[in-house]
Amino acid sequence: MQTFVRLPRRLILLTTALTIVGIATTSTPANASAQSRGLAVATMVDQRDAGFKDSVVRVRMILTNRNGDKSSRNMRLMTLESMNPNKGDKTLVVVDSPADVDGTILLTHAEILAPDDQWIFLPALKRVKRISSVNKSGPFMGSEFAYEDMGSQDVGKFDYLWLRHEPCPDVPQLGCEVVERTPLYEHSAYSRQIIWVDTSQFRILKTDFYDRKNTLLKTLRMTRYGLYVNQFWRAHHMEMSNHQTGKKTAIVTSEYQLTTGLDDGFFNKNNIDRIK
Amino acid sequence: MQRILANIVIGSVIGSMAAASSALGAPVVNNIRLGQHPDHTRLVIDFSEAADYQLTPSADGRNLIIDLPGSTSAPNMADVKANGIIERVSRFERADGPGFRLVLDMQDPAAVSADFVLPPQDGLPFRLVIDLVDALPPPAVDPASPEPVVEAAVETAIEPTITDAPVITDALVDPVLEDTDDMPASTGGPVMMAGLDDDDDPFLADPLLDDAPEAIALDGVRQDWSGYIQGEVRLFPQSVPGKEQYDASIAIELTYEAAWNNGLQSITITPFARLDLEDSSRTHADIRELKWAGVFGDFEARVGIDQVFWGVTESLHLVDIINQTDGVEDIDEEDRLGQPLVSLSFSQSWGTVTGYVLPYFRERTFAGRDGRPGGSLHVADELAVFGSTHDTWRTDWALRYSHAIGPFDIGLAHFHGMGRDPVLVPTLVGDEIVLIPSYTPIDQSSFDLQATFGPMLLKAEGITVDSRNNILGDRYYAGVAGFEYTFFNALGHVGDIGLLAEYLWDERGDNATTAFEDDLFVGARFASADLASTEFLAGVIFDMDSSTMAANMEASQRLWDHWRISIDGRFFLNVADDDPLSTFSRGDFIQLRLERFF
Repeated sequence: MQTFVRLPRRLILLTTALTIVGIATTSTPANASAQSRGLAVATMVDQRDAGFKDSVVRVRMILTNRNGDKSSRNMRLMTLESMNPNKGDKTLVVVDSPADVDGTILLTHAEILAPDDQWIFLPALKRVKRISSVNKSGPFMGSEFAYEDMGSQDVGKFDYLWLRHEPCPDVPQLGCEVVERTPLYEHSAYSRQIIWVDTSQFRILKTDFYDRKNTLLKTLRMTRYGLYVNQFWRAHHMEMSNHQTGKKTAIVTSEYQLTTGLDDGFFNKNNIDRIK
Repeated sequence: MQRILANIVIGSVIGSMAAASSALGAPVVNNIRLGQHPDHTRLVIDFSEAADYQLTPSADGRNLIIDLPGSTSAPNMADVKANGIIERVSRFERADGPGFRLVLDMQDPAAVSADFVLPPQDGLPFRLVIDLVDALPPPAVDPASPEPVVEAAVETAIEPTITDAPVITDALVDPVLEDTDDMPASTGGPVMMAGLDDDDDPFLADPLLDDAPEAIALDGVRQDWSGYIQGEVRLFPQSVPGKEQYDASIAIELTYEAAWNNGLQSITITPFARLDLEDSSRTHADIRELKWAGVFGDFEARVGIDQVFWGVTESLHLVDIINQTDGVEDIDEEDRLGQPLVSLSFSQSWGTVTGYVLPYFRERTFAGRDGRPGGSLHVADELAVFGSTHDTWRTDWALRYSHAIGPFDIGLAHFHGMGRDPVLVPTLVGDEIVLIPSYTPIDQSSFDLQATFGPMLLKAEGITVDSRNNILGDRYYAGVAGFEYTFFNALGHVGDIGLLAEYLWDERGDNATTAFEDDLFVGARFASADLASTEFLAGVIFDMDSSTMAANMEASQRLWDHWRISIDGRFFLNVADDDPLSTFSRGDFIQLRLERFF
């Protein structure tokens, strides 16, 4: 019989490994179990989204400063799902505005814990440049989203600790698992993040980001979900609020297309400038 | 309480008596009823026939998930009123097939005290009965305190224990069950759910669901116009006889792109033109791009006028050779003339190989008689000589391999054709000494390499050139190598600061066609994290043999959404008379540009 809570063999192995580590570090059984439950939630989120193969989406960013002044950035985001658990997804960001950077393309071959491989195409010079990607904590196009917030949230990028179960923020009719995750990437801007995952469809609805001083830095709320290919949930609205600066960035996505047939060659640095 | 720990119960309404009806198709849920009893809350689900079900209580007892994997349809959840310990019943679709899930939210932590199935009896259909009782809340979750219960829950969730279907006997028939229809209305009574209506599709019951916007068609033709118009003012602090100390010009560049077949085929047209107040040579137009490109599996073909950049270093573009420099635009060699070509690329996991056929040679552009910067000697580009032949229609070719392996980006290339860098030969023409550009056919082999180690980029380019008919001798070597190190989020997260240093070398020494034969470049750049993308760049090239220095400063910032303002300064200090840069002596200038993008 099929069940909703069918977990992959990979998770079982991970859990076993985690238990062994737990014993080795003499953590308490409760801690280990909260860890494995947190990992189980993250794995469910990952599994629930596995198999979309590739996606193309139009992204509009609306940046709001402390005074309420707004400016916007438009781009297209193309993603190739990684079939290798030790590698992240490949993504292409094609900038459509602001107009002075129209046509700029950012290609990322994501790693899990190592810095990503990243290239930028500068249309004015027709030049493809390999750039340093250690700066995952830097702002993406001047927004409140850091590069690491935009990238794929692979299971292996964090340690997990289950905290509690409670009604979901904003949608109390759903139950949420509340999980703390600690970035394993050494240059991450965050000491930890708290995620709210609804247990009906395993979507991340809210993320609290704590800075390196363990002060609440930002909150991301993901709403207006669309269901694609009758299987994959994608948020149409994401709002990142910076509690320390009062600035906000909203991302509105549209024209989602999944499983369009993009292949590896499309995400080759030598072919960047062919993208229209 | 003990059932909280049991976690998952899988049952099946399959018994011998169910066999007859199971052939009728997917079970249909016709009704969901809640009833409050003195010591428990009962939930009854009516099925048209035998059905599988699975119960998954949350560890804290606040939720109970009832999965009905094979069942279809469902009553309208909107009418389900809180009753007893059950606060809410929500319905969710399965994504991967038929079936759905009910989620019960509890007022207080609850435990399943009984769950069983009743066969059809007395006109009543198959029924799944779930009894819920108050449960003590689980211990407060404190990761530091032992709570083996949670671990048990997780283990079970990972490997669901398939239990046998409960044995259905008459003994399990709860006499109270048959009374549920008669429960007092004050308790909510049996909740009879109305049929579905169009406005309340249970699929849309998900509170987060948003209407999926229409996707654009992939097979249409996508067209895009972009470009800029630029106003420029140049100031020359030093006076030169017969030339003005200021200049103004206006430039426009447009790009039209049309792509079809999901972007696999496209045409691009980019005309450029500048109108200059002082320099008639700088008033010029060029087709930067006019090309068709098509992707066919692992191959990409391009035909037309194109822009191709090779290389990695910042102070000098040594290996870059496909396009001629548009020298009249600026002296930074970053503006290039459109190059007619046919190219074919082949991409594999081991890298990309591209072949180019270049049927036409383009001469470098130089400032005119009234133009600045420019030395005391006029470059008579109309008298340019081309080695053995004067023909600009040629069959030059090039081949390039490039690949990224881990932190390394490697490029290997060979070029056979007219060299892009001219030697400027002082010649007496009439009663004036002018500089005549002399181009030579060459074979250039090159490599470019970048290693990216965190914030440190190591870069190197090298060429070896065999100049047939070379007035300077046979084969020579040249190289440039250095690093770029970036301090990210520097100055209190204001932006990134990069430090660059490169060494430039040319075997030909003072005979080199380039000014950079034994030079050191040091530079710094700042890229702000602000909305205006403020950028600063400053660099100096020192000639190690002489005192000559060339300094360059650039600053730019976005204004509003569509404008960009930039100010650049180029300075030449202590230029030796025999240095190729002497054509720029007394040629310091500051230029202010304002660009409107569209």
